[in-house]
Amino acid sequence: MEIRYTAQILTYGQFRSIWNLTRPTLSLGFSQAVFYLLPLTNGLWSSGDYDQSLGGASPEMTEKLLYEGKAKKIFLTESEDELLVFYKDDATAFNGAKKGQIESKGQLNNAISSVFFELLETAGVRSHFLKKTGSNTMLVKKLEIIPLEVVVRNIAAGSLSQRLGWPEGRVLDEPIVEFYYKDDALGDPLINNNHIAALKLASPCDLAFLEEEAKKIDRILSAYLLARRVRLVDFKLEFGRHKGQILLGDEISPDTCRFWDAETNKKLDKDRFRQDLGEVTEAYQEIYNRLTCQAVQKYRALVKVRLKDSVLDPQGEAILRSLSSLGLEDFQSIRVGKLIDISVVGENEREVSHKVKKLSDDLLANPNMEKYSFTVEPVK
Amino acid sequence: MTCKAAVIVFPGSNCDRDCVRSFEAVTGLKANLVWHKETSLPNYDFIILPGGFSYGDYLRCGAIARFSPVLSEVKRLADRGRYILGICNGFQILTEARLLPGALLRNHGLKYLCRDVYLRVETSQSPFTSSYKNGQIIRLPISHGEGSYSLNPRELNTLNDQDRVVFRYASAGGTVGETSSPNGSQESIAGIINRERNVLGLMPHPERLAEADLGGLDGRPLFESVLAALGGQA
Repeated sequence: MEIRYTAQILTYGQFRSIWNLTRPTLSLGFSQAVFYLLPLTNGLWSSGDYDQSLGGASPEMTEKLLYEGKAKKIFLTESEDELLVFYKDDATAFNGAKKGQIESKGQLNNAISSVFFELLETAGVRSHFLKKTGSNTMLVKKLEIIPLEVVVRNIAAGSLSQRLGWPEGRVLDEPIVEFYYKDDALGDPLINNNHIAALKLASPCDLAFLEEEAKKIDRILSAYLLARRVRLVDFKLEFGRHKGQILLGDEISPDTCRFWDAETNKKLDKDRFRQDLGEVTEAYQEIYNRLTCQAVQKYRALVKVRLKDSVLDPQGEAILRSLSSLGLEDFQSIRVGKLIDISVVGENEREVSHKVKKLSDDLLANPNMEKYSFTVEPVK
Repeated sequence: MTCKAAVIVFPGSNCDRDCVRSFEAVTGLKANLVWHKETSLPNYDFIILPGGFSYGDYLRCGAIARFSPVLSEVKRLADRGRYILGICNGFQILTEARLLPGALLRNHGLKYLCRDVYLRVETSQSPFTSSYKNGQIIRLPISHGEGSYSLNPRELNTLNDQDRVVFRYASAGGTVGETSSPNGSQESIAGIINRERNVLGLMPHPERLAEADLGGLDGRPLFESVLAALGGQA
């Protein structure tokens, strides 16, 4: 390990790229990060050339590139059954008609997909995912890919809106599962089970399994995301065979899903790139942040605002005086206040109580004349 | 002289144009209507928060207007000694914004009151009342449902000690007593000023009686006082 290399080889831009790549996932301090990078610089950049698309890759990956796709590179490993997936920053849309780069997309999609695969694993969905090995890389089982894109839709958007004339945002009564034939030359056409049988892509039994598995994945992901204030609009899955079993493959990320913020419907996925909405990296980062944060839950807060005891309440007095004409007795005092009924989301009761207290102090009650109390309870 | 006044317009303000007209008629200076979304008021020496029903008086009068973008600028200018006048709903906003102490509660009779009242000018030691005499009895209209001024006893003592009660409701004969307040205000208070004496809030409407055609001139000296404080001549 020769320290003098770093000074010669790394320009500021290169260092920043590496720093950005390593910082979020490894949480390294400054000196540790530099230390960590030294072996990389020797292996990768000893020629002084910086290969943008390989930022953060480990040296051995440069040897055995198996396949390069639009968003990922696949490398062979020493094990016959395993492959290394490298997520790129490259982005394409409309079957490659639109091309570009999304800063940090590779590492974000790798991180997001890893979270999803692990979540599905614990829920009993088997996938090719083995482990995340680096900021941009994951180790997976080698699959014989079934050339089908399995799409699940919960809310109308994209090609479904076009095909059926349904406005974007229309909530579907039941999820719709669609199959697309993976063929770039044909433009990935929508096909049905008869086409699939004719093309001999999957047996009726396997096809039924794919549909059920896709729906199961939809239920798991939708619930997980909604608890983090994200609506799963639709998503694409790919499957493959490994030692006779059908496993979930590919990736699950903002490249392959439509995510909308549950409150504002703000798009948090590749539609921001497709439609030039800006803040693309920020949206991907937001999804990662939501996935890794605690689930939020809906709470109901009831805030009671009343006049302080020392303040005269003419309204209450007027009501009290009217009681005798109703023939009602024994009422000693009546004071009128406000009940404010609030729906609010938060991580736990303590955090929500804190927010409601701030709202009450700052706005709902005027401390000069009013006092307040409140209750917070979770909503089913 | 290049002094200018700004009259802030909130959604629901309805005395904004009256303020512009009276200020201009009395002082000969220019007053501009300024929308509440404005965040900078660099060229104004005098700010009026007018009467009305900002944000429909929802929650509490003035409680939501207090969060208007312009209010932070008004606070900044108040800190820098510019003159700020809050009339009626403007007074309510100033208390909600904590630029003035206390709160304005529902009238004790629960009714909306719209009529002329008599006031005693408690101090001429302010940039808003220097053209009145101490103890002068004046007549101005009130028009409010929540004008009952309330303040804790300790702070009330401070107000009195510092000569900061500017107007009290009085009888036509000029006496201030238990019955002289139309709305139940503590100590018949109708208007107060801050410690630095550059922020005044009052429930009655001086801008509605500042021209002879309107049936009275008792609001006029308030604008003349401001003009004098700004260094001009009436």
